[in-house]
Formats: sequence, C-alpha cells, structure tokens
Amino acid sequence: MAATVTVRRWTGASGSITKTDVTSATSRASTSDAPSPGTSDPIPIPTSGTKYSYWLSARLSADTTPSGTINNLKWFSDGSNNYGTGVTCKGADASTGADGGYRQATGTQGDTGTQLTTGNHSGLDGAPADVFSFTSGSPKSLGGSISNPSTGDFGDHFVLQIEVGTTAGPGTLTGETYTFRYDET
Amino acid sequence: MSDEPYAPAVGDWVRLLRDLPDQLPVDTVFRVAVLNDDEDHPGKLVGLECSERWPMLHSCDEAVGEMRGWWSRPEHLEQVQL
Repeated sequence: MAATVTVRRWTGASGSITKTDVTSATSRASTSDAPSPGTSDPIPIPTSGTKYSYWLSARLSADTTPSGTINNLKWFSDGSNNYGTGVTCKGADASTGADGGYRQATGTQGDTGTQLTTGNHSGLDGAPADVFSFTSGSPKSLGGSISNPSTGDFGDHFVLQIEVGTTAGPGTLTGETYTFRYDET
Repeated sequence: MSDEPYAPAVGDWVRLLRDLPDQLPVDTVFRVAVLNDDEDHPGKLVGLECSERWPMLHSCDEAVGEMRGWWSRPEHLEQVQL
C-alpha cells in the first residue's frame, strides 16, 4: 500500500517548529513567519529596489511508512510566471546543518523579508534560481529518502521567496502551482 | 496528425491545455503575442493575448493590454484554426 505523504510548510524557531500541512492547498507568502498568514502582512511595492517575502520552506513528510522506499525526489513549477509584471520567485534546496537545513525566516514584519541567499540562509545547498526554470521536464533534484518502517520528515527542504519590484501592480497575486514528485516502492 | 511538438509563432491562435487562469472558460482562445528565450526570461516563454479582459490576466510585461495577457509554454498549448 502506498505511503501517505504530505507537504509540510515549516515556520517558527528551531526547537519549536510548526509544520503545517499544505498538500494541495493555497499557502501564501507574506512578510511574516506566520504559517497561514492569509492576507495579513502583504509584500509592499517598493518605491525603489526590491521587497522580499519571508522565506517559505517546505518539506515532505511520510505520515505512513512506504512498503519499500521513497526516493528520487524532484520539485518543479508549472514553468510559467503569471504573478504579473515586476514579480519573480526564486528558490533552492536546503539540507545543510541543523533541522535538515531549515532556518527560520527573518526580516522586518510587514515590510520585507531577508533576501534568500547562501550568505543569509546557512541551510541552503546552493544559490537560489528562478523557480520557473524548474519544470516537470527539467525539475530540481532533491536529496533524501525514507524506507520502511520509518515515518516522518524526509528529503531536502525546498525554500522559496517572492521578489517584488517597483513595476509590480497592487492586489492579490495569481496562485502558482509547485509540485513535489518522487518514486516509491 | 503530426507527432512534432507545436512550435508557436506570433499571430497563431491557441487554446490552453494546462495552467489556465482561474475560472477562465477552457475554450478561451488566445493569440500568440510574444516569444521569449526561456534562459533570459524564465517562466515567460510564450506571451498570449486574450480578446477579453479577465481579472487574473496581466499585461505580459506590458506587451499586451492590461488584464489580457498570460504566460505559457509550447507544451501547454494547442493551435486552433479560426
């Protein structure tokens, strides 16, 4: 029988991390570390430069164990950036150091998050890239696996961040679909 | 029927097979308005123009009118003859 695997959004400080099930759900980016921010703390449109969302970290969880093994993890977008003019999204995998590479998002609440870079996020495995370059035909490979009889968190995190430039328009952005894929035996 | 993947050209009429704007009728026809290199413009490969304004649409970086644009990819499109 196939394992029950969910996508968990991680928020909060190390030692008291909240892991929210966002499988097939709309999960908003904001300028706060709230797990379900709704429309609070939107990302402002800057008068110059760039405003950033707080980092959004997601990782797979095996809520029931697989019969064999889950591996060959991939992450991808739909390949089309329909956030609108002046808005991009960058991301990278994270597995370095404590908490499987998770680091609590930081910034100035209600204004901007800290830019997602390898210098600012010590758990990242590489430099962030435009997430729309990761498609089903050319996905981002993630490390990690889980085998029977284990359950729980497994694999690399995928961490992303929305970037808003001066040419962006006001309002709620169109939702985009991001997908984890894996093999299971 | 050709097995060759569809290669859009500016001016073609197309229908979206995947990644439609929310609540937009599935039979909506778009005109191909912009073609970009994916390396220089990730996620902005094919810019489409809708004949009608729709709340979830944008301007494809001002290449088409406001609330008429949508970015897509060749593999998500089906060419139609009008």
